Amino acid sequence: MNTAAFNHITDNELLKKYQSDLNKEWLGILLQRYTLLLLGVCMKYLKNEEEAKDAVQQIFLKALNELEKYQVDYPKSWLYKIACNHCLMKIRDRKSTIELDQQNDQILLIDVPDESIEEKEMNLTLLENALEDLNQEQKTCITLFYHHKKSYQQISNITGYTLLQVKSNIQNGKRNLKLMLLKKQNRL
Amino acid sequence: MKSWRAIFNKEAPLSDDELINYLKNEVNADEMHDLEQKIAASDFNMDALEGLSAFKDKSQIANTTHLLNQQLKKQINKSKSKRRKRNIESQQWIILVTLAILLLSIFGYLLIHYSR
Repeated sequence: MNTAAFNHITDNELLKKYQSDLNKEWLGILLQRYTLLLLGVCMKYLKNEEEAKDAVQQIFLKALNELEKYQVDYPKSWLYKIACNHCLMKIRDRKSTIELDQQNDQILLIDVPDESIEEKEMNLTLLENALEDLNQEQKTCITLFYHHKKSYQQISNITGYTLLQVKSNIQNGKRNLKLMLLKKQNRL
Repeated sequence: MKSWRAIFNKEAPLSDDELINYLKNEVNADEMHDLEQKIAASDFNMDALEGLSAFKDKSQIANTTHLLNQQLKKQINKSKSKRRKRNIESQQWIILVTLAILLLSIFGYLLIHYSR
């Protein structure tokens, strides 16, 4: 099947098509949308190109097997979680010296659903208050990126942080903001 | 105030080409921020970008992705043909059992008919 021809079909529609005729080619089209991202995530955690490629193949097998049995509502988030957990298992298996605690924290935190904030109308005052609670590095990077529309490189030039630090401050800052907002919204 | 809303904007689709061009530094300055905002919209994208940046030869990433997709297709075709084979085998059993029941019925009928 030519996957480009199915670009107009959403992930969830592909899953529905699979559930109606059990043709695994629908799952193939869905998984191919995320091959590059999966390869990147596996490379991030495993830090080895060959191991990352093998891991993607194993994640595909696992996904094909599990999508047959379970209902998945957010395929992209689900695949990300599968990939992170798979890599974590691999790291545990080889008893690597990589700082597992740090990686564990990241993997546990991804359970915060991306959609939960968007579904509720965002209270901008709450957001601004939450921003004040971020640490200085995260607050600076988030402000420069979202408010002043600076690129990663420009933020790096302005702040003196490395590109990796900029990306990680934005990613972690955003995640912390989400958690703080969810906490505050639930309290209201 | 409006710009803050972008923090939790619904994810815009990010194509493989966009990501690969970004990795190869082939994005012009005007498009840079929009593309980075798309990437920053999900942890999956951000982690992937970090991992892909660690590849020694960025020009090989597209090729590696293509090969992984080919292997996925092969895997799916293999499981499809296995399923087809299993279906044919189970159909063969149904035909055999039906034939056996039919033959037994004819044999029973003939036995009763001629024993009278």
